[in-house]
Amino acid sequence: MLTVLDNLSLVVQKGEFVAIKGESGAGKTTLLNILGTLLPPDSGNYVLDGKEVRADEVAEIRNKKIGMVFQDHRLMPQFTVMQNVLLPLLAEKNATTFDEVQRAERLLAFMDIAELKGSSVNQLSGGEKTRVAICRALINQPSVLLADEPTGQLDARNARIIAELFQKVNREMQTTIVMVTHSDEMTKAAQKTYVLRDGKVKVEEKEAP
Amino acid sequence: MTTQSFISQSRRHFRSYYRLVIIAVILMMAVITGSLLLGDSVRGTLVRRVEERLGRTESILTSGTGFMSDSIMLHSLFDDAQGVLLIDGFISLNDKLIPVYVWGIDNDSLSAGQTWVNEPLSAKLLGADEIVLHLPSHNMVPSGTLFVTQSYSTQMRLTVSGCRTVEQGGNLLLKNEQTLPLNLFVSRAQLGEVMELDGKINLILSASRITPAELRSAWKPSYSGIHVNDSSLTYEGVFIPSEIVDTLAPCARYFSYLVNDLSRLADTAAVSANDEASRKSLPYSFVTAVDEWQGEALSARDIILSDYAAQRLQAKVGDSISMTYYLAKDLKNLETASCTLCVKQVVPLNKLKGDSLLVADFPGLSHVEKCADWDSDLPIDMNRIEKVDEEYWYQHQQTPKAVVAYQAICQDWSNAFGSATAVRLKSGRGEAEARLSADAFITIVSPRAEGLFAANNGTDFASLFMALGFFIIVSGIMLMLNPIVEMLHERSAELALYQQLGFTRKRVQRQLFREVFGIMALVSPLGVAAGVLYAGITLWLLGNVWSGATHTEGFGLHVQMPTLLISWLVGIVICAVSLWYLLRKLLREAEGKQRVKPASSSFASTAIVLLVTLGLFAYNLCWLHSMIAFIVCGITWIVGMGMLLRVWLVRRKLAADTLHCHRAQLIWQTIYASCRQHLLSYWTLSLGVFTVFAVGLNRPDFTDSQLMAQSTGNYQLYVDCRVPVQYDLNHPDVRRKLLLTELPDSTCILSFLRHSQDEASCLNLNRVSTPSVLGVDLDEMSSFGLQADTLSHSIPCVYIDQESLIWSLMKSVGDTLYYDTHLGTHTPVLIAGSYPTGIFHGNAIMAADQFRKLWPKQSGVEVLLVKSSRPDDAADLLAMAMGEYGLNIQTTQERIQMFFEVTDTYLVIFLTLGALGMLLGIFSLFVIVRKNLTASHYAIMLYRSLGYREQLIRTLLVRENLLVPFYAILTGALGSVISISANVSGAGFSTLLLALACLVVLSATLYIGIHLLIKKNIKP
Repeated sequence: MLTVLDNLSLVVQKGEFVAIKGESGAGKTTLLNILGTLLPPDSGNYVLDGKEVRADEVAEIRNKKIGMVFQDHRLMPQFTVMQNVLLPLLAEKNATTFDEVQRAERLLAFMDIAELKGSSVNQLSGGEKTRVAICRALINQPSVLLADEPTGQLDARNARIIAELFQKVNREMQTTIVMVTHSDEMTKAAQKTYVLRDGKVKVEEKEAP
Repeated sequence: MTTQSFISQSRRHFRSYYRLVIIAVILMMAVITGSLLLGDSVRGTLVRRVEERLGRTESILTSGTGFMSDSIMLHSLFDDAQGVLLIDGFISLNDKLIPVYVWGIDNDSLSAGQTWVNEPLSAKLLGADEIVLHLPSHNMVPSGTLFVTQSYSTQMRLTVSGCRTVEQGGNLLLKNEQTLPLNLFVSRAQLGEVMELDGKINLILSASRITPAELRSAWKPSYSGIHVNDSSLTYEGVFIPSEIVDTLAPCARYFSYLVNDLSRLADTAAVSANDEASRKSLPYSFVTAVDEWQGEALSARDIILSDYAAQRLQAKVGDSISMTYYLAKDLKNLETASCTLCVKQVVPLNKLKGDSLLVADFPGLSHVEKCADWDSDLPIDMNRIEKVDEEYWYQHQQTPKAVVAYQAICQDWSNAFGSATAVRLKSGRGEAEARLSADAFITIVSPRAEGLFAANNGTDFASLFMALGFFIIVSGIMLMLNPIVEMLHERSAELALYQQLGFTRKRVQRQLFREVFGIMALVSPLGVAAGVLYAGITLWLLGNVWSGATHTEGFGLHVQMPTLLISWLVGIVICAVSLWYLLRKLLREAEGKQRVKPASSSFASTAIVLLVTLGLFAYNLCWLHSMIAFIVCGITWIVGMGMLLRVWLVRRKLAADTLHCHRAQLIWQTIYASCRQHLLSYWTLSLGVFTVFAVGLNRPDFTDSQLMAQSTGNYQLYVDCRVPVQYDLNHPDVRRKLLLTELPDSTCILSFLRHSQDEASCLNLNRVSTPSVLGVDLDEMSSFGLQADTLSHSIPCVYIDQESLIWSLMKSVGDTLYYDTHLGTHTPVLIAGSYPTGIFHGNAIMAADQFRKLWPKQSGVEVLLVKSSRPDDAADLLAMAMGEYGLNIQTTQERIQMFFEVTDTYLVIFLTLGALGMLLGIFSLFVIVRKNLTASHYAIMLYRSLGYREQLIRTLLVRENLLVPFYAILTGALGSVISISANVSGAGFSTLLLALACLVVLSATLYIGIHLLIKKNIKP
């Protein structure tokens, strides 16, 4: 059995914006999947909002407390932008309410893509898709936003815009953000950067701006 | 790296898909090859049956209802031929009647009292060594005439001493049928003796071809029982056919007749009515009608009395004589006729006694010692015969007591068999013989050519099984194409790369075609081999489990290289064309050239199709009542609902622009995303369910009173008489005579004359040219759905049941059939109409009067339908009282079931193959679902990351993949119900319940299958 993360201990405070760096194969995505409860750790504990995460609660935690943004966006091509944003709400009920739709519209406006709500996701650019994915991650007002290389497929300009948006979300919504990235722009946007090496993390000292 | 190595590498990598492709190609090719081989095998077996049943026979010479002298066999023309006396008989064994063909053959090894049987009959006899063979009383005088004995059958007690194998000609049969005959071989000499047909044959089987010209040159009148001397002509069958008499004109005709009474009218007036005993009359006297007496023509009122008769009647020249005699109407319904004649001359008895032409040889009457020994079918009142009459008979036998004018009496005395009992020639022997021709007595048949034609043009099993297995072929093609679609979906990145690398679409298409088609071509011989296995298994089933369809012991497998080659080519072409089309379509779509039809126009056309379906259904239900129209309704319903599904999906897609979002919307939009595949599932499943259920629900239910009433005309018993019955069984006198007085008064018997030809029912796989004809009063046939109109046609007409007309004869109303008449001529018979298939399936129905004109010698009734308030009692009484007629009594329901069993078995085969096809369809649906699940991999991951519970994800996926199949099943099932609307009640409650159970099982299978597939594919 391959050991990816070994005796790793990471504490992220509420409202923090943390970036995790590391070489390819260092285990960044594995760590993010564990944080997102998509993978259970072989041993050890995962405490979220002061409460240990239990296996029978992971679906609810993912839906209510965690929002995830993937490098490939994972938008459903058969649905519109608005439907993709509203998708997490259908995990618990059959249909969305008017308030929820309004919330989604506010999020889209917050991300500056309000005019795209009826569009097919196939028609969007990479940056727009990332914004839609962020909106979707935020629709349930999660306490933690996990992002796996959200700017991996974007050019520098768009990466900068996305970094600013993450900062804006962190700042205005008080959302804790844990982001795996190679991008310097994103690292700069984060308040704290961890480096993952040999299965362990250590804090990278931030240069003074 | 070469293209070939690239292709090989790809094949290895995607081998899991190719496994399915291989299975599908083998299946499809197996069904195609198997179907074609089935056609060859059935045809080959029928041809082999022709060889078996004919042996070396190339020509058959038959004397029809008459006989030939065995002296004909001495002619050199028949050196390579065998003379046979063939009679239809029956054996009673354990209260069962076994109809048999009795072959009287010349074989030194076959001694009197012994018999050989063929293998099928041996099996029926269950090891019995001693049998009693019943035979109709076939002597030279036809049973249909008045002057025959009272007994209509005779018996032979025989010991079974051997079994004739196929190679020994045991299965000789002259009819074009595939069912094995029940043959019994006896010594011809013994058979001739028992039947009073010594030295007679009625069949010559020749190993060489004999032409009519050769026969004419070899034939002599004596061979056909015509005795010609210098001045006269007589016939062994007593009654000389009128055509022969006409041929010999000018000539003097003689007709000997037994009259009931000769009385002198003058005395009759003189005596009082109460003094009948003193009346001068002669009971039961032979009288001969002649054209001329001693060279002088007789006038119509003349009678010449013998001096004996004149003395008994105390009559003299000029006295009036009343002559009373029986007239025979149809089925020997006797009427008494009389005429008044004037004594022209009284001649010495010796003068009458000396002329042999004045008497005829009537069985039962001639050659008996006294009148009391007369064995006649006529109701003779023996109390009227006095001692003096016996003395006359003792001394003078049949010597006529009077001679009358032929012209005056010939209308009354002539019968269907002849118009004279002797002819005095005016032209001399040589000319008379020259005028007679063999054509009138002997018919030549080339059985091999006819048999081979019938075998080679019979039921086409290749087309039949191709049609029956069509659904498997379609499912096979789908199963073949689906994995390819799935594989190309997985290889979409590879295809995109080719595009980026500058490969043209055609180049990519060619490369993929080489990759896939190479595999198909490689495994195709395996498919052909599997086809041989498929054909072998099906033939075995046809001989065993499905023998109801063919009524045979099974068929031999005939594998012919050209057929294998053709089926291989057909399969390969199907593979190539469907693959090329699929690749072209997929690659074009990948290039973004897919066309999406506007939903609005689809909705309009959908509405039109559904409205037309509704309109046609309502019209058909209220007025037309056509089964075909209902089936069309069922199909258009499925088409309409398919179009509606597409419209619905498009509409759901368009509705997605609203701001709200709900789970159902997610599901419909996901279905729309793979719309084409879902529609493909819809067509496969709905048409599969429709086909299988429509066929299943259309299976006849014998408890359906309406169906049975139409099929049987409400008659309860069907009676097949091995010995023709010459009476009207509804007549009270006949019922008294045959001891049938205990039949319930309500018993009504409908009688049919029969001209036996080939079996044209669904039991015969050969092509039939001339079905057996039943002659009946057509007014009686309206209860069977036959509406006759013979008046508007100038030639004889027949009516044939719809199934026989279409499938056995392959003809239609207005076509003409050609039958041999009693004169040996081909006569056209018009097919004037058809009627619903029922109890007369396989027979042509003809008006009795037309029948009698064509075949006057077949005067006896051979088929009876009985309607009675107590059918069981009627059956018992008929069997007991008419045992000598070899009655095979069965209920009409049993007979209908026998026919419907064939249809039913074909439906079962269709159902079986249809169900097999549907299973393949479901299997290919599972392949589609698996592909959908692969495509949904990211969606599933996303759902998880968004916090969807596993149960919810599964539910969404199950619904995405099951909604359309369930819709298809429901639509197909409703379509099948629509298609049987003509006869919903005919399906029967049990059938409907079974169909419902099948529907539930099918739905449950789909649900469980898809559920398991999802469970397996979305493991966290």
